[in-house]
Amino acid sequence: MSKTAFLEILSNLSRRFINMSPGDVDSEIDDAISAVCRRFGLDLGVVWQWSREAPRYVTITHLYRPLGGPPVPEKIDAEEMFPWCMKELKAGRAIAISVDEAPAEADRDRETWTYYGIRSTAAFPLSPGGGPLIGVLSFAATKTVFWSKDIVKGLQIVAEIFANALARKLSDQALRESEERLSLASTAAGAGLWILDLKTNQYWATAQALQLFELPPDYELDLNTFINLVHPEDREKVKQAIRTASQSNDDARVTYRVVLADGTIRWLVSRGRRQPGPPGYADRLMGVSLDVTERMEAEAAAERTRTMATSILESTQDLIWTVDPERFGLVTFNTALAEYFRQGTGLVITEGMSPHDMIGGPFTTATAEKWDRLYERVLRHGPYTEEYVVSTGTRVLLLSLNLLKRNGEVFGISVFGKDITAHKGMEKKIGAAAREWQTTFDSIPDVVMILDGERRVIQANMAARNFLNVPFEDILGRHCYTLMHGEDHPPADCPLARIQEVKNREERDIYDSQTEKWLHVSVDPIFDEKGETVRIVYTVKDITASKRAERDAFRARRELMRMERLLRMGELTASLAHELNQPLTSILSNARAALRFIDSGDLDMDELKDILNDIADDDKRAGNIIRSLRAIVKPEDSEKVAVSLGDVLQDVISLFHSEAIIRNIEVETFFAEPLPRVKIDVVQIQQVLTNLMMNAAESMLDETGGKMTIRVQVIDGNKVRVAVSDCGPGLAAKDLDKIFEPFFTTKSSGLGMGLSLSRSIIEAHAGHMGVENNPDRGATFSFELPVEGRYDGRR
Amino acid sequence: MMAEDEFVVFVIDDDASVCKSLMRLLRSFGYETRVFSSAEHFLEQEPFQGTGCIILDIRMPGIGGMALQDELCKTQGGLPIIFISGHGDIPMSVQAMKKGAVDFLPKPFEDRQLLDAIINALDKSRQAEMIRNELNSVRMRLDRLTPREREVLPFIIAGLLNKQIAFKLNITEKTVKVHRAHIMEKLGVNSVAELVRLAEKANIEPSVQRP
Repeated sequence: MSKTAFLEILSNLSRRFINMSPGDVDSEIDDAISAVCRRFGLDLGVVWQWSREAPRYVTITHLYRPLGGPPVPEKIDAEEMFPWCMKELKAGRAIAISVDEAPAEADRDRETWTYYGIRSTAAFPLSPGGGPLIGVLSFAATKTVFWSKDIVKGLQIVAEIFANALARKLSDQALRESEERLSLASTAAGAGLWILDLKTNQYWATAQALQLFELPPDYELDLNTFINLVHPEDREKVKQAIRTASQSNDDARVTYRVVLADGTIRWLVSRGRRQPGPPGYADRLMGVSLDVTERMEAEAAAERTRTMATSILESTQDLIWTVDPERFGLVTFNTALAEYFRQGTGLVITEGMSPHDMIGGPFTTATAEKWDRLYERVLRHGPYTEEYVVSTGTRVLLLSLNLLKRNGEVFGISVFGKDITAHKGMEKKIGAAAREWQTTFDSIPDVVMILDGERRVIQANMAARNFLNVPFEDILGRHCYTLMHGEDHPPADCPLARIQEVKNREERDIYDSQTEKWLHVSVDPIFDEKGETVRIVYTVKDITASKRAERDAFRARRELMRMERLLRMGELTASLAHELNQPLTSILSNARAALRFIDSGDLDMDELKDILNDIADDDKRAGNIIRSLRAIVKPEDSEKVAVSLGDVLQDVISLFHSEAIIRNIEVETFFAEPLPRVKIDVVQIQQVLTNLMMNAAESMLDETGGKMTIRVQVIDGNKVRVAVSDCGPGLAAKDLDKIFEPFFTTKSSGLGMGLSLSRSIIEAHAGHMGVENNPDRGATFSFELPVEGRYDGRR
Repeated sequence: MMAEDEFVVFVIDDDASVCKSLMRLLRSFGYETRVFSSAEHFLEQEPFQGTGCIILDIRMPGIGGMALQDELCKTQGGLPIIFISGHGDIPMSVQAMKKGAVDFLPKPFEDRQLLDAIINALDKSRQAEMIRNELNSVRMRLDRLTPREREVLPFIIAGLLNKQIAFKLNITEKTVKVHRAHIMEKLGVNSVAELVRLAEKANIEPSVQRP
């Protein structure tokens, strides 16, 4: 083997490997290995490389083996198969031996060689630039080879060339990978990469970068164009950032807006750094730009939220703050808290202050320790709420302590302090009001109970307890009907039952025969917003006394009416006597005539029958007069019955017949036909008409041949109007208003009660009474009564 | 009791039943009876000239009893009135009696009371008629006297002597004597006393002038 031949290989190798592209490395190595083997008559040439994934194993990356033999595994456990060789190679030593010469410690290695039929072998570490081992270049021969110094040295150079080439390839690979990763990452992040030549002001930019400005991938961007794309308000800021980056070695970062062709605004953040250019070349600015529109908008939204939250915090009078969980130093706090301290102790609080930093004035060490305990308690036992009396004792805070957590970890304590001093005062007032109410409630002499919607008692006053005579505990929760009536269901006429229908207060007078008392029961419902009865105020008032008074008054009034009637009757006595004397005269005359006929024997039976019939008729006539008199004179038991108004009025007019004759008055009647039925107390209505007719007659005392008109009309089909007109002097205007007042009279005699009573009678009949002067002469008194049933003007 | 044929009882009352029963009672007395339901109806009749009486209700619609009494006094004079009334009003009865009513019966009244009143009225009516008849004959006789005789008569009943009358009338005493004889004859009297009574009935006043 000549040295020159080997040198030739080497120079050839060096030449080829110098400007070799990384992609050609593997094939060149293969070629070089086979050239070496052929030249030196070697049977095996291999490049082993450590795999990055499994450092223990080495992988054959290049193999030259013209002769064959047992298959060489692609991957071998080098430590196991060649322990000695590995030790040597790791130590940086080359190996060039025949198998027989191998030292004793290389027994395992020898086994492997023998197995593959190897007699001589040489191995060289591949460690580019003297760095760490990346692989091994080994040669072997099935015959014994003499490894001369020159060969070994030459092969060592080959190994170095290989190592460098492989290293270059690897780094190139790594670079490509990292480039790919970067591109992948930048694409994924929406980032655009760019380089600005600071001399030409020309950009080199990735498609992604151009995309940020909605520019086509092949667009040639220069600095001016870029600046014009920037939002006018941000231009100065961007220029300044570029200037700063160009003059320093630090990263420059700028967030700015660009205005796209369609007018939309896009937020970008660009980061760049100056890169010195190769000698003779201008410096460059390299950087990356990112679309942060979404983030900026989110930030703006977050900022708005923060602003709002802050304004809420600041607008409240409540004290709000947070502390850190270690030394309870203030982290955030609102103005209300700052004000609270400023006014309370004159302290200006700042971030980081712990309770112990706040000591001063009424805020004592004890206060600070108390706060430590409050904070510790929330850390230990979780959120809680507590009323806290401030150190001066003048205010009460309702404290609410909460833990601030992020990912399950406590990073702060928030405190919400509401000043409830006024509220506490209010509670006192409410308490006082409640006691006041209870006292008032109990002092009501009437029985008052408050029931729920189911008529169970939920509150009862002292009078109720006394009335029921049951222990208070036994009243509550019981049904009112159980308590009041001893029944297990409500009574049939219970006023409470009607409440549900009428949705209003119900009242009833009830006579309790056991206690002989009159009770006024009233129930007032209280409704919720849905209209359901939620509460019922149940009141029972003993009205026995007032009932009695009412009854007495009723009796007195009734007696007064009777008196008035009697008085009227007294006035009418003369004419009534006449009225009665007429039939009596007839009867007597007829009887005497009959007797005389009998005595004279000059009587026929027809005559007698005629006489007796006449007597009977006159007797009836007398009887009728007596009866109507008795009705007027007897005490009344007010009873309203449905009758024909015409009959009732006619009775009175008949009774007045004689009076009219005596007074020389003509009575004219105009009755609507037919007259409706009315539900009236007959005697009372007759009393009213008698009154009006007597008054009319009396008003015409000084007249000769006076005329009284009684007119009965039906109005609107539901009212009937009875009007009595006279042709007397009429009424003075000043008397028109007072005429119905009790004891008002224009006459020298009389109680002055007639018209007053008449009006009260008519009003008790749901009617109306009126008076007016006639257009020509005299006055008209009238009353209206409701018609009973339907009136259609037909009989 | 015997009824007088020529005696008529008028009943005026607004109450039909009263009218009917009274008519029946009066018939049992045997009187002829005529019934009117009002004063107005009564006045519509021809004035009644015979004997009789009126049973009159004081209070009636329209013309009342008292008013009718006044009216009858003016026009018809004679018929006696028995007032009946359901109202026992005394002042009215007094007034009625003063005006010449025969009686005043408050309703109701016994048949006897009515009968007595009617008899009373009958007497009165008859007396009145007698007086009326006598007066009529006196008047008829007086009508036969000459104007001169009519002139002499008041002096005679005044009790003057013929001589005195002749002086007064400026005629002879003999002429007076003739007149006196004619007067006594024509009037059917025999003495001056009779003549005086007759003149009195005829409402002839004696000449008061005495010598």
